Amino acid sequence: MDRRDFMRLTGAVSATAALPGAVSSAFAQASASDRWRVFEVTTRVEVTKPSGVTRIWLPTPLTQDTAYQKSMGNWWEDGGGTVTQAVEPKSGTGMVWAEFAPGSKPVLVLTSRFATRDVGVDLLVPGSTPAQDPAALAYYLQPTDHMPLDGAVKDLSSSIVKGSRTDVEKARAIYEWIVENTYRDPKTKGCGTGDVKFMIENKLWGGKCADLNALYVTLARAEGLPARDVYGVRVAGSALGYNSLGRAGGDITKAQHCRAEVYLRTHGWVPVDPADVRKVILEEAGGKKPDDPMVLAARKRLFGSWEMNWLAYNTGNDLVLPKSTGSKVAFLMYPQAETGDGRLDSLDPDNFKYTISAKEVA
Amino acid sequence: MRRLAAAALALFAFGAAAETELRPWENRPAPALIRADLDGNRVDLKDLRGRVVLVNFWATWCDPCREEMPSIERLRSKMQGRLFEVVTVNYGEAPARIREFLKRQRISLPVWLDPDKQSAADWSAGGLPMTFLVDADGRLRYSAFGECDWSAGEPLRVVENLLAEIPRAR
Repeated sequence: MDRRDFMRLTGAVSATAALPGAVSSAFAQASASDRWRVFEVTTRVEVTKPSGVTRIWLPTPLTQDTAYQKSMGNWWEDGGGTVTQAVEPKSGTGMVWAEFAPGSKPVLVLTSRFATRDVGVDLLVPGSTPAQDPAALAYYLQPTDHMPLDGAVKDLSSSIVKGSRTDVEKARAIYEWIVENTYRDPKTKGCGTGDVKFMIENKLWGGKCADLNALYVTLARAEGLPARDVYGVRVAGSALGYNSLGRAGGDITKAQHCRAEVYLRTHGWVPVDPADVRKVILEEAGGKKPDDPMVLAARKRLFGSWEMNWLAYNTGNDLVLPKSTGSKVAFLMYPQAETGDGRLDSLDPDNFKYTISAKEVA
Repeated sequence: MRRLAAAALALFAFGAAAETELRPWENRPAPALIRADLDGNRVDLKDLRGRVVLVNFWATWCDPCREEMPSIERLRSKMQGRLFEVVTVNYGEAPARIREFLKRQRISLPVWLDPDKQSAADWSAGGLPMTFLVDADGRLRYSAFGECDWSAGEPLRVVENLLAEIPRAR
């Protein structure tokens, strides 16, 4: 792996300066709430059956401050390993990674402190957005290994936005289409593997197996709107009354959630989350009908705003992990590790134990 | 949520056989499939020439895959002693996780590993479960996406027809 692919940072201070190639996430309007909440998230990883050299990679909060999130530092217990903080320059994906010598007991503990505040964009009022680097925006228009932008994808996106005159209308049309077409169809068979084209060709819209925010990003890019998944984890319960859209109690080990943003020339990066609208339909209080007031409220809110009981890690795709001998990862939202025997399964409790906890500190 | 899950399972049980869609293929050699099995042995689909092979791509996190597997076990049991094999290919997971899943689900099907998901890409398995029927000459003859009952109805008839093509097949 070319070390030039990563900027290496020393010390425990996370980068807050602008990074070349990374796109800032400035919003045109003031946030939906001016109150900043401060959290700490602690990830503890243990590789229980090491073999040869062991490496562990953990995502850190966004490496650039935004209107909805500010990083306040990362620190770690290295467990005898050599720890490095790194940033992938194209997407600004930040991580802390550690290398453990053969015969050691690989345990890495990372604590990240950050502040969040709810964010909303008034799409009826064009804002003054800062100029964005066209090359940086171009990164979020590209197809990826799992998100082709032609064929069935383009056919679908074109049909969805037909009649839309502005970028806002296109972005909203795609959002509404996903919300309208995501009900679990009992005739739907199988699961997707992250291949959005296959998902579209086989109409894999419903159930746990659908990745609806990736679908949103793909369709938006196919229509020339820069868009990106924002990978993160829920860190607290929802103050808006949605049990399905938060994680109270502190244990957030399985609370990972990916949201999405779409870039509009008039408003900058706009937060969206059609997948969470579906989650409300499927899971809130045993399931709700699409015309339930709670669903309608979520549907309205989640085009243009986010409740920030959630930590944003990064927006990177198809990442090469530093010094890894394995393949690229589609995204870095879960802890990753490998030993001399190869990449470990993030979901394999026998070999790869990790816990993630969150607490609000201010 | 429990009612929803029960309804979904009931619909699967009722609808699977009726809605099975096997896509026929013509004149296409099956892609290469050379991997390791759960015991670390090198395995090659070509070594199964002369037999009809059902190749099934799956993952432990795929509920439809889990629901379908017992039907593949039943098919394998029905075909015992005949020129028929089942190969399941796990999509991208570690052996320890697979073994735990097989033990918990009481599945005894052969499992080949596809840790880098390259075989899934070679076979265009963009969703799971994805199942292929390869004839005794190594040609891809049918594919099916999604769960179905392989031990009855049309899928069983198709397997029998492929076996009937083998000279002196029982």
